Amino acid sequence: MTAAVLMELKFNPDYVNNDSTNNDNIISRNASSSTDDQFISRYFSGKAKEGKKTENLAKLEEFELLQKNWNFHEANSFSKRLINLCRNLLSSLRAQPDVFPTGRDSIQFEYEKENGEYLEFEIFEDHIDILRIDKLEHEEEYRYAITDDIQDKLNELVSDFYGRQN
Amino acid sequence: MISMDDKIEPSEKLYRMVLRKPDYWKKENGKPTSAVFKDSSGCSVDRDGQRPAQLIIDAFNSRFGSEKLKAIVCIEAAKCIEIGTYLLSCPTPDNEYHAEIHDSNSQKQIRSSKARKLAKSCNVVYVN
Repeated sequence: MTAAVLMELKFNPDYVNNDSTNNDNIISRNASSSTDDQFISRYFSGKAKEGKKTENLAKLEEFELLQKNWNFHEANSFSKRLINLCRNLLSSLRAQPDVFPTGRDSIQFEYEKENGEYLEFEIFEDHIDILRIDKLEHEEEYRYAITDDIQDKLNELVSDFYGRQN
Repeated sequence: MISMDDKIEPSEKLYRMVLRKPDYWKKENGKPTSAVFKDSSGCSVDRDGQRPAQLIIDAFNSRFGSEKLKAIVCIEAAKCIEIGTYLLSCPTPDNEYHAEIHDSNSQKQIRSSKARKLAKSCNVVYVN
């Protein structure tokens, strides 16, 4: 099995390693989180990640141009502070999310797997609301203040999301 | 014609437009992101008012312009109630069918978990 194929399988949520004859070459889904981090880092550090990042940064530029009532429901335009915060977060995130504006002065980052697992960061100027849903649809919602280490905190969640075993 | 003072019945359908720009569409599942249900004053929708779906679609196109619309989605009021949101009829001079989905009777903005459920439960009735 080539490394490239192995990488694809690793990130297929439905992949289960049943190959008991070649365990030396296959890192199973029970691999440690540090190994998952290595995989995530490798998987998302190539052209795919850069292309998605470029696309996401372009979206932020588009959001920056939106005028008041852009959604026909009296949404405000987005502040430079929020756009810059999102720009910095996108630049530091280990994996690129899907990015969407909301009509309540926030910008939403989403990660989703085919098995229903979901991770959402709703970025406001002064805090970030987190929503995590596992494949059994258990939900967790909590809030982070914007602190100096917020990028590390979000990256921990992203790593955990892509390495989660449940 | 329905009375706009009426409580929204579980049997009613609620319609929400999805803008083309910015892009709210999730190609993987052919539905909008939950962000489309997140407004500062709850989530504006139109009640069906016993109108056929095509009439409602025409009304949205007429009001906002078809070039602005990516899609129109619909969700049953009963589903909104099951999710735990609070439905409020609030007709305006321009739109007697206008209503809002709130998080609860004391909080307008819909929390993320409920917005996510709305997005997963809605049906796409029109794609442009």
